[in-house]
Amino acid sequence: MSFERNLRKEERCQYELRDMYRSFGYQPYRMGKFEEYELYMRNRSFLRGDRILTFTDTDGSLKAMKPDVTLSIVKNYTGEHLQKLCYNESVFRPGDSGFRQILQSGLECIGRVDDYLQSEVVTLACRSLAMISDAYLLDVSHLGFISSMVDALVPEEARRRMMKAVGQKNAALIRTICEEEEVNENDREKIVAVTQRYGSADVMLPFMRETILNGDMQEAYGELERTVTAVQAAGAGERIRIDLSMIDDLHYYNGIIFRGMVEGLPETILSGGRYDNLLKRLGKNGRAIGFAIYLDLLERLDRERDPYDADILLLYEKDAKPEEIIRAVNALRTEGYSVRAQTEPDTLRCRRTAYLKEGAWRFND
Amino acid sequence: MTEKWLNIALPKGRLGEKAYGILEDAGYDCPQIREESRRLIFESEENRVRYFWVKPSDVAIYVQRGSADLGIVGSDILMEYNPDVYELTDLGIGRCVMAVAGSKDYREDPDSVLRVATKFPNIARKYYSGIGREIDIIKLNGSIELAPILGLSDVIVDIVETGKTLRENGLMPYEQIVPVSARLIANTVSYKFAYEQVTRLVRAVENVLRERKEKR
Repeated sequence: MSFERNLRKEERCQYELRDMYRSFGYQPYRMGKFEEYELYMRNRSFLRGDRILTFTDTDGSLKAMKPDVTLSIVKNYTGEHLQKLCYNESVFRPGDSGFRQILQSGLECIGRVDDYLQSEVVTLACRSLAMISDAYLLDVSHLGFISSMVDALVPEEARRRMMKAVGQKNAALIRTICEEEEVNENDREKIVAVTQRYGSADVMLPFMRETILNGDMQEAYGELERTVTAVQAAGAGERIRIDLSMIDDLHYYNGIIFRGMVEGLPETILSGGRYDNLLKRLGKNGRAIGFAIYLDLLERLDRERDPYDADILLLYEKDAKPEEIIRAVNALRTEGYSVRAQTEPDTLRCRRTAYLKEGAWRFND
Repeated sequence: MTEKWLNIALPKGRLGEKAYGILEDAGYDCPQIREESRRLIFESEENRVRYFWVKPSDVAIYVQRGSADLGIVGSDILMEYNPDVYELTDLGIGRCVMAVAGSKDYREDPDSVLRVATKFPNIARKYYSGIGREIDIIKLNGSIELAPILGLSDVIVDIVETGKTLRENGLMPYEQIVPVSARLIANTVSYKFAYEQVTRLVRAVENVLRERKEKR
């Protein structure tokens, strides 16, 4: 009998994903202990939320229920070898109605990350999404492209507002800010187009080349092109899209960033990117790239729910002997059925009903 | 391949009707919607659009959660709730301002905590922290104008269209916080999966807005 039929989609995905990550040399990482609250507090904006579930440990220190796994992995990175890790963990984050336990899978590649390893991680992001659904998209961008463009066009004071407008694809606001900052019409329409255009690499790469304003943008373009081309060569690029309006906190992230979506889920299910800056903040050297998948969202995808509570409802008389009942239950179980044995049918829905009388059972149909 | 259905959330009321007028002119009409009825959902098989009427302050929730791919919502709601959606176009309708108002004889007293009654606590908090003023927020759900009259608050932060309601209640606007108008918003994931369809709609809407502007 296969146990797989009992797995929920998110559980099955966990095992399949880990299997795939291990085949690319990622080692499973387990977070056995709790981190000091301070680690998360100091890096609150990396966590995109300031509420953290805390408790006092037996030694009186203030600890936290992990809101994230990446920070711990980076904290424990020794800074010597290339480290490739994958994990399945529950993280605790605030939702609309209190803290929630969220199932997260992911992988991290830290150390001498080169072009190959970078494309491997992006490829694995695509393959992870493909495991969840055929109808997926992986949006990729290079943070340096849009941030260098904004830097080139508006002064520091207007930067934050402009980045927010970019992230919202808010053409009207981008134009307003450009007018206020006296950006010329040509450049203004360039940045509007950069935030609005969306499509496959074949369409977007030539478009990007026309919008480059300086050396930094050229460099960002080059890196994005190399990565996307390598992922395409690995046979995983078909559902890659380029969305240059994606933004992230530059204190932590730099370079390539990506987000995965699956048709039918209204929010991002996978999110990742290069985070050399986080390493730097935690006093480590090296490059790092990784991603996380929020598996609990799969619960919201259309799932086939078993309409029955059990295959067989076995009804017995109140005075039936327990050994007779267990014998009947086991006999049915060996034939591969799931069995609910009880005296009343209650509101159960079972495929068939059987009656146990004087030690023998028979179906009523 | 047949196109996906686009679900569009419209705010119940005058603003929603005006917004539908723009979408109708842009070629996304759904004639049943003009008929008197209590129905909430209307479909046009031909245009592959499905409209539904929701409470104006709920539009962004429907869009962020993906029940609607697109929606029409006032920028006041967007500023207050800061939903994770794309803000695609300013429709230029439902224009008004978010303003601070108080009774005609109100005098600012920098020596005390300012009591502010509002339906928009986040906007009020952000505005006053921006100018470094300590305030006490009183969150109300309607008839905000009553608050200063009854002494519940010193001022109110609310949207002002013509100023008529304020005047009739002996109030007047003091400071303008930000102009408000209706926006076309999109769910960030639907936008990607229906990119061509959505951009076509946005372009058609923008054309209508341009034509209307030229006519004026």
